Amino acid sequence: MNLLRRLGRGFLAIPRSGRRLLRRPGARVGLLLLPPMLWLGVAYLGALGALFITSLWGQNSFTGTIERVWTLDNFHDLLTIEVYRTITFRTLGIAALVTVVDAVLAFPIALYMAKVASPRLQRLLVIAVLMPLWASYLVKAYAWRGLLSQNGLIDSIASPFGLGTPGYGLMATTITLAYLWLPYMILPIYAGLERLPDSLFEASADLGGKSAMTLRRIVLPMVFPAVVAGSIFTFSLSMGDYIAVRIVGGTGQLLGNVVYDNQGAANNLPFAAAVATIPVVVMVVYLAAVRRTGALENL
Amino acid sequence: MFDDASAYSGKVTSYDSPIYIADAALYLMKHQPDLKITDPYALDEGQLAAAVDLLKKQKEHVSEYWSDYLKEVQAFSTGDSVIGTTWEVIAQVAQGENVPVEAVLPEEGSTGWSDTWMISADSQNSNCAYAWMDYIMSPKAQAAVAEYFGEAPANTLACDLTSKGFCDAYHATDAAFAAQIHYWTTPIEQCLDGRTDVKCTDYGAWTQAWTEIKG
Repeated sequence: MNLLRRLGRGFLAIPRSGRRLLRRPGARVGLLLLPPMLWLGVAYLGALGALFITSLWGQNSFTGTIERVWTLDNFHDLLTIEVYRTITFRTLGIAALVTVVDAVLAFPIALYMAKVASPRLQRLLVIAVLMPLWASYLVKAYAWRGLLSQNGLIDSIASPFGLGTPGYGLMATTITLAYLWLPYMILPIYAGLERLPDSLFEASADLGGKSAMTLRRIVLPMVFPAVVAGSIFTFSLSMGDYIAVRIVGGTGQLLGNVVYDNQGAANNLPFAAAVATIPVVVMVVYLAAVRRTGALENL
Repeated sequence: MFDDASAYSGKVTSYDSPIYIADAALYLMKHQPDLKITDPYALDEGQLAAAVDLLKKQKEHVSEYWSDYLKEVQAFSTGDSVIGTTWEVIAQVAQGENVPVEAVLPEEGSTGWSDTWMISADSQNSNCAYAWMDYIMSPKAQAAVAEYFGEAPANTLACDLTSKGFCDAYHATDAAFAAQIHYWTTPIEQCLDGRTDVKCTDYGAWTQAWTEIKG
């Protein structure tokens, strides 16, 4: 016990200069924030910087090792070889489509959760929305592979109506990604709707606004920043995905697959890094654009 | 896989890797002798272009490319794929699940590779490293590795210890079979078939070509 106390005192003994530093509130906050800021700076921004620097290097064609000579060849290839442009636009299209599908699906669910359900049901629904996130990504993607198979569940449900499974391809990829990222859209919209005072609904009704009118003129404009906040998640997660498209994408490929194919045996990390800067640039532009909507305050 | 792919359109599956270009080159080696391909891993620009063209034509009939064996076993058991390139182990697993499949060696021969172990040259415990090499080459360890991984053992003495029929299924002692396998050699600029008058396409070029084939 005595030893413990003495040890404790040892640990807590702060030199006089340090004590003076700790009395200053600014310094205290600074010390508190230093480790997480270092982590953010080194692990996240530092890695992005390293990625960009690597993309300006080359590769030895005989040994496959990275040659640290500055070159713009990777970006030149990326801009001049048509297939990379095609893949970039395809990836952007899928990410946008996934975002729209998720927004359309998430809005009614979030509206019910925030404004209709009882507080008890509300809590249950939040858990239900979060629950799919507890299961492994791969399990969910392979489950969709089974569902979308030519003799799978979707086909047997749709066949009486003369329809069938879309099969493996970009459509299947969009469906799978929309399923995977839906909770990331529901939660911000739900939070946005919860902040919306009920009195606004009453005021609208008092002034003769029907439900549809209230939704269109009151709810949608006010909750739009929350939808944009959700879209940041769904859009960026879809932009970088390469696993779902490998599992249900048939012969399709997205930007992430090009990055993946240039690693491993190819070991062309500089080119992979150059390809990986495309989603980063797109997201920077996207974030700059949505800043005006106030969406970033909704995250 | 190449000339009759259209007969199974939408049900064909192929291996998802730039090295698969060598399979097309192997086909062309036999069926288009005027291209003068002698090694499927040594292609000059014209030969690579011919292989890429062939693969682009095949792609019209491909339902999906596979890279992990779970995916291919599943595609054959659901019927989403009916013909495709494979590893012996995938055919074995599928047969084990009562999927009616058969693996055949094409008349053109086949591509293939040996899985390898590596020991660091800077290993601090070189005696242990040698002891481990002895162990991993021993029939007992080779039999265990081969059966666990689903491949032919490197040491044929292992065949006395593997389960019944294993070495036959994987053609482990069939020299005529092995002679038809063109083992993976990573393509480099210096032509591997000995030509010095042209530059060959390296693996980076193959990777880019593979991206273009998938489109």
